Amino acid sequence: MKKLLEINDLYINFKTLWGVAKVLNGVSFNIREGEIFGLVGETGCGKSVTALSILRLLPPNAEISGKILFKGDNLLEKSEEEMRKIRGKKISIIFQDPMTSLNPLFKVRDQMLDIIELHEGLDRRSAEEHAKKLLKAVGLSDPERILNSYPHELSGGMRQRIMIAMALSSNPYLLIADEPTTALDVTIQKQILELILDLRNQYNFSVLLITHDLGVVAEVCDRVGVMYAGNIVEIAPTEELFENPLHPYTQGLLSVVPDPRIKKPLKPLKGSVPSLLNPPSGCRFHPRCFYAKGICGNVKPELHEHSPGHFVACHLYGGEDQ
Amino acid sequence: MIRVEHLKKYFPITHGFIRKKIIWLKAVDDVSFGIKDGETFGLVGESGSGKSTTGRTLLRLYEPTGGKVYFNDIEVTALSKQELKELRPKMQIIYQDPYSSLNPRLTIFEIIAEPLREYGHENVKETVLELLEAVGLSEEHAKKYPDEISGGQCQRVAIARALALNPEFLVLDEPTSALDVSVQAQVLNLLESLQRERNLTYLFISHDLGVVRYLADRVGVMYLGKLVEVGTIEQVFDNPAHPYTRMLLSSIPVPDPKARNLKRERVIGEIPSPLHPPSGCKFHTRCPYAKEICKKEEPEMIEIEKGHFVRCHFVGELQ
Repeated sequence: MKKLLEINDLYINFKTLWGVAKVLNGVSFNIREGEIFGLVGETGCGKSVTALSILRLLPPNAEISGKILFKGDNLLEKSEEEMRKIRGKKISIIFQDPMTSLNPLFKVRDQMLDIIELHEGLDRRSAEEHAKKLLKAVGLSDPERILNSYPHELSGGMRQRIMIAMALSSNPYLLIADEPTTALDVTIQKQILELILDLRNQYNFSVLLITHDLGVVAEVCDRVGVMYAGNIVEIAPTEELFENPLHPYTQGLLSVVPDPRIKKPLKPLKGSVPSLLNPPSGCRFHPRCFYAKGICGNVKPELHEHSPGHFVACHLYGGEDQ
Repeated sequence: MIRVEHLKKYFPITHGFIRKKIIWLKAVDDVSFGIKDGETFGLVGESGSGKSTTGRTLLRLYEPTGGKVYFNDIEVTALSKQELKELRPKMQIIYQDPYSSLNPRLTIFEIIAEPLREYGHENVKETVLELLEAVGLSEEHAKKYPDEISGGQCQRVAIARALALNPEFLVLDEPTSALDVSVQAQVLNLLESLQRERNLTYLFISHDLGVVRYLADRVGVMYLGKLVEVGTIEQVFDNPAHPYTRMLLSSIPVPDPKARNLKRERVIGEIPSPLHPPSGCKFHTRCPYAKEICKKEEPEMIEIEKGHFVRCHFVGELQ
């Protein structure tokens, strides 16, 4: 499969009052055409910043270096004008909280039609036809009523369906979904995840799914990247990652997820996530790692291919620097 | 130890100004269950199902609209304010958001010392340090303020404060929902070992069925203010009898790509507004097995095996 998006050695620093936060520390991964790539990690690991950087939506105090290649073009070199033609048209994003993503003062009709008119250059009438078709495609059976509603009149699940409909209105190549189901109840989460899967199978776009929930990853992703404190520590096809996790952090993460099917002991990692203002040297995970040795505190391990398609950044598995 | 009988909590919602109209929101509607000494009883359900209201009403943080709550044969619902205050040390609660449940202007030491002073404890300093140690914090944390420590540490402080007066019963209201999984595991293990050491009884409220499976001995499933299924963890999770329990269990993403849960059982619709609940069985609007009778008559709780109760007209007939 062809690569749609390639991120190479992405570094992002934020200048803050308390110093420079080193939020991304050399992130590299790619997303292939038509695949669902999951980015998983705990709060503050940099997964949302990675998503926002793809659309160049970071605040002005961010310093970015590296490459983000979308269909071969480096998005970091695009002008603001060119980016505006990509955002929402070629790459769309949906966020965690569908309430705050929709404007509470306008009916769904105005918000949806504005976007469709802008991106597709349609007149009001054909835009409305298109909007109704989209709403049906995301499982909202009464599009007329939805278009006439204000966001607060709709449930969280319905609002997220509308966000998905809007995101897909111009047939994007890539859908970025940043914790799309975190604010929803499990039965609604299931419906939204099934919807994303169905639409992907139908329209064959790629998805970057950002989540903290390993259950969600296991259910829908084709491949997964695990992030820790601004680094990608492991990338593998989903089944391979769950069956044969290599990085000690991935192993730790998998052993703390309570399984609803059976009670098994939880073995928590020691310590907590480090501050990115003053991150640990070498491998950022080494202060919490059970296997840490001398080199781990000094040299940052690079991501390398341990077995075909399975990448890990850990000195335990050697690599080119040894 | 805890006995809840026909507990009800209705909230009035007023409409209009001149011609006032009151609609009752039945947050908890005729809920009965018991918790044994040293046991963890889990209460699960989606948002708006009434699980948190149940926890708060049985501690009388909300005044119940009806029903009785017994704590070791003391009728909590019949106590006067003064008597209730004397009982409070025995029954404590821990909330979801550790930051907003701790006073930001007090040091950790003062937060834990407050209940001790309120109830005229001696050796406050020693007791606080003991409590800090019991929840895995150290003396150096005592001088800090809540915003200087992490979410997981805040939750440990909330636990230490709840334990200060040697309670017998704790209501844990989504105690780990705001935490990352690795921190959640630490707090769950702490709650488990504290229960063993101090012989605590827990009411554990959560929407996360994985966490409930990990901690609870018995579990009750709530839907729109009603309990629809009660039983041991094994009975409810391995052999769910109510269609809603089945829907809930088949909706959880399982951390195992070989056991993909999606597509296995169809999930229909959303939880209706508790202001206008459906007639008859409240689940009939989403139930794949619903028949005519479900719209008209509310089913009773039926014991299908020892200790396993289900509220469904067609229990036993469903495959």
